[in-house]
Amino acid sequence: MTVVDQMAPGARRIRGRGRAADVVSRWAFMAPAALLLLAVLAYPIFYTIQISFAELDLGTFTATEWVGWDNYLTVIEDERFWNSLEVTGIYLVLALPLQMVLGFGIAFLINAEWKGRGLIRALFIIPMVVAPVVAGGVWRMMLDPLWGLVNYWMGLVGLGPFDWLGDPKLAMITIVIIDTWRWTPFVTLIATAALLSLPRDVFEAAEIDGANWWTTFWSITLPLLVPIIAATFVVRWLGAVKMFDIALAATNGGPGRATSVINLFIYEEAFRSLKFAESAAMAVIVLVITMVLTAVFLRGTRKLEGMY
Amino acid sequence: MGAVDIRGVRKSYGDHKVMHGVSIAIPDGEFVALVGPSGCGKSTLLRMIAGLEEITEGDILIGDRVINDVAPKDRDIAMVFQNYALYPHMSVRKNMAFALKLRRLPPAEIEKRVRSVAEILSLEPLLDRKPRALSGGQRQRVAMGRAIVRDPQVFLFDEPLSNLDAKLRVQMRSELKELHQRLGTTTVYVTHDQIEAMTLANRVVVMNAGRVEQVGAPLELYDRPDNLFVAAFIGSPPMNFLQGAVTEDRSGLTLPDGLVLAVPGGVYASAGTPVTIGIRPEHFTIASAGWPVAVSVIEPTGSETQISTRLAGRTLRVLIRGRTAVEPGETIHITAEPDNIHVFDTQTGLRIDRR
Amino acid sequence: MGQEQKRTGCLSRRALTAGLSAIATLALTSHGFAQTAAKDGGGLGTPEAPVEIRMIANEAFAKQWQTSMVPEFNKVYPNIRVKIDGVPYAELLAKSLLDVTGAKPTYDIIIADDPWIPQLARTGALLDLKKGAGQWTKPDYDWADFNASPLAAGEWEGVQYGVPLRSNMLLMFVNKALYAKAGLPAPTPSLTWAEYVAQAPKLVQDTNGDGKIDSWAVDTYFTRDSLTPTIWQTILNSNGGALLDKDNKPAFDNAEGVKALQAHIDLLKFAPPGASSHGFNESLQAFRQGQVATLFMWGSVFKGTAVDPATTTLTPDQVGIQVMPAGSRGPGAHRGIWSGAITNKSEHPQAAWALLQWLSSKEGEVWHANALGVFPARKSTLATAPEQAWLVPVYAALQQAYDTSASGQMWRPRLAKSDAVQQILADETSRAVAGQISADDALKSAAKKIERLLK
Repeated sequence: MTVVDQMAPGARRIRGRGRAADVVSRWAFMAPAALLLLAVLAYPIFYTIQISFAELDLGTFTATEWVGWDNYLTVIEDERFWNSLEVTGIYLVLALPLQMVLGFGIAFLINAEWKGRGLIRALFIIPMVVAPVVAGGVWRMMLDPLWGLVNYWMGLVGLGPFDWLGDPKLAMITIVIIDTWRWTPFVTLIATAALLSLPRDVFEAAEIDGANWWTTFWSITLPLLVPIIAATFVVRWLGAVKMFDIALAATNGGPGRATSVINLFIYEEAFRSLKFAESAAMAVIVLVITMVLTAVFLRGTRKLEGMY
Repeated sequence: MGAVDIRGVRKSYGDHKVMHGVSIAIPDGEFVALVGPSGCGKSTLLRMIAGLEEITEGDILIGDRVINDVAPKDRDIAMVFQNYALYPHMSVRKNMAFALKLRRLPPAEIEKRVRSVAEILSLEPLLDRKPRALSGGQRQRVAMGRAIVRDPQVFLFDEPLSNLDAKLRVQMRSELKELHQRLGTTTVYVTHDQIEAMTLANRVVVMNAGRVEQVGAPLELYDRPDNLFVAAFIGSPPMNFLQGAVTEDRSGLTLPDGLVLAVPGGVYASAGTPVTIGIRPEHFTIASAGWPVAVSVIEPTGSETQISTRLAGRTLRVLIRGRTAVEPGETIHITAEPDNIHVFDTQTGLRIDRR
Repeated sequence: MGQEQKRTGCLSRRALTAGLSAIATLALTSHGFAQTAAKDGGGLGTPEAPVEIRMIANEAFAKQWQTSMVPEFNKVYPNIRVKIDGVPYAELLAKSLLDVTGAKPTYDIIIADDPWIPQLARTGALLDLKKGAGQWTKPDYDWADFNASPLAAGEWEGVQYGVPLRSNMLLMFVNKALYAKAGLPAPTPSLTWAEYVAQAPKLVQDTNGDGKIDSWAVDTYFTRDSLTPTIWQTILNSNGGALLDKDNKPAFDNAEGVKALQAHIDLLKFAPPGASSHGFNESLQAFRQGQVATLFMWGSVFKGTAVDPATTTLTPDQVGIQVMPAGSRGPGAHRGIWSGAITNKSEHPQAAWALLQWLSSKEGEVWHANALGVFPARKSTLATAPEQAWLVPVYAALQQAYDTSASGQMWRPRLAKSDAVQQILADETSRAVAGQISADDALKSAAKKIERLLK
């Protein structure tokens, strides 16, 4: 007898009692969570959307006047907004692949048995638990051209000196480095768990079938990891889009606007310049872009999973 | 050329010894089953033949080549795993072709081989499916197909049927047997199921705690178990045992509680020796005279009936063909042919033969 | 305004906050429903029924006030309990604004930085200290004794909303030992920018003779920070220029402005390597470690940066403090006053005003300066001899800075959108400092944006 057959009597029983009662009880269980979600997630988002179409009176913090797409036009005409999007794009294109490759690469290395592996694994957690402001500050100190350690070390091998935070191009690299330092362990942890969960006998089968290290990696390990790599990428992507704390602490968006990622810009416009309506418009635009791209990534992920 | 010769193989993990000198010679074309309880070392031995475990001491030869230090892929073996170990991201066709591709066979040759094996195993309609779209039995077949397509010198099976339901298992068992008869490839088959071992193998190796207890043809193990372990392990329902000391006249057994039992044909050991006699349930017959036992449970299965009886506080199982009118609570008399009574030295566990 | 609308306003505030937080991950809070301010002022409390007032302040000094200032205050007003919440500087204005505009603000007292009073007052949430709180003003509270410049920080459109509690001015810190080492005379308040720049190359020097430059002429704000533009703004002011004209139109988009910004950028030539990313912390550290001869910085950090043996090896006789170098108009300074203001809806305005009065009174200021080293705003206090010797030159510098800042209007724009202006300036200044854009183009770009912002 199959599993489906065994379940059938239960299903019939529910149908017998009436579908309506079942639906009601299901919703009754879901209602508190749904309401809570609606209150803490949906309402603020809708309110942000409302604000973005209105003039905001700072005196009462209410949307006083419907101004249509005015805020959006203001934002779109603001080259700083486009600059921030571009900066965010550069950051994402640099940081995400780097973190994915490093994260999975390191997981691969520490997955092999060697002495002191446990300690290294434990040390790996540190960057994740350090507050971003502290991380930014510590890195600022380490990267300082005058008294920082990094330039001193690089000087020992004849490199530099580099103005890590003062040079616009280097500053972006610096942000990527700090962010990578902070988030690679996260990817590594997921990757390690993924590697451990891979079926051992499949690799043994491959070994007997004659696969060498490279073939095993390319034809077995990588395809088996694809769903997890894709999922990790989406998680990291959603995290990275929100990134602004490291930029805030390390460069404050500078020099110039070299590291002014979009969320730092929105934060500044909202809470420094108090331009809440325009910030809301920007937030909505970013939300839409993020949702669209996330949908694309999720589709891609599903495609990849289907392929493997 | 496909003979496997295992010579004094030992295995230890650090100081922990798990195999204590195992020697088995498997002639070319033979189907050998390694059987024993879990932890007996049968899987470890199989994995050492496959090259997935290091051999601590001793040699393993395939053909006339010592393969201790030969990489798994160069041993010319194929292995079927308990969980099938199919490549989940590859279609059935690719699963079967993978090893051939790695050997750089021409694509036409690969396709030909895959097709012919798929035909043997009725896998043709499934060739483009992924493993997750297959049933357990189908996956099992693919795993076998992947092994067969390589045309190896030796097949290694690691409990390949244990994940199938009972009905499918019986069916696959006969398919396996048929396949072996058709291909004639040397096969080493690990199982914990003695029925599987008995029905499939030309020879059965019973292992226990890292040692070989007995090697022999299936019926040999059944008829003349070398020791108490094999006697208890082979046969279902298991053999009945009675411990006691040989009586002065060697006609019977004095049980620990003083009861004296006459043993048909007598006991072939010196008087006073502590022995264990074993009688298979199916070898008892109900007679007008014999050991008086109280019937406690009757379990009819149609073709045969199992009767649980009590003899002075000990349970004895009796299996008779057909049905019986005996009722629980009744006292019946049971007896057995002298040839079907096995005598073992209680201390060494070894069989004592008629002299 | 109806109850329903109030409620929406309140929820909306939360929603806006949460909505932006969801993206910018910053959480703010707001509270409660409408309630009218206590008309009777809420009294000063009795031993049986003490009153409690709450204050929101910069976390940099909130704790010190709670542990040292409040007990001193309670010696005079034992029945007023004071609770001070410290908030990081970057979030203080936004949090204060969200709170005071709420139906029932948490805080009775808001501690506002120099440019914030107009932004807070514009919402109508602040109490007019002279008219609204006049009935509770002590007869001996001497308004005229305040220096005009710090008092003006608490004023907007002719109404006095705040009183100066922690006065601060952008000043020049001097490491006289490094000047001596370079064979230069120690600067005096009459030092001009021309003289300063002429001396600067000599101040980039190797002090220990190992062949490596180890000391530089200057450090200050160069990084992308809303306070960075105040440096060139002060240079502009000391040359008689202004950021905005009297119609609040940008007035810096000209040769004077470019000259000032360029002068700021050119300081980098004499600053330590990597100074282009230096801000408050980094420049303080450079001065503290004796690596720079001058530092343009807020005077309030003088103690910890230049004279406190716990934090620096510099000694009081090695260092000096004075106004920034003079331009064509006179010496430079830039105002940064923390004012105390009272919210309109406070239930205890009388008690809140009692605290602000006490702390800004002649006696309070003297205690505050001597006990905590906080800079005073009153002429009478600056005329006293401070108990702490390091304050003596500070007092002199402060008095001169107040005078010159008042006459030169050396402060950030007194506008509701002051911080937005400062943000634009910070942005463009940083681009110019980083060399991504010329000083001229940076100011043109900033002027265009500010004009549109203030339209």
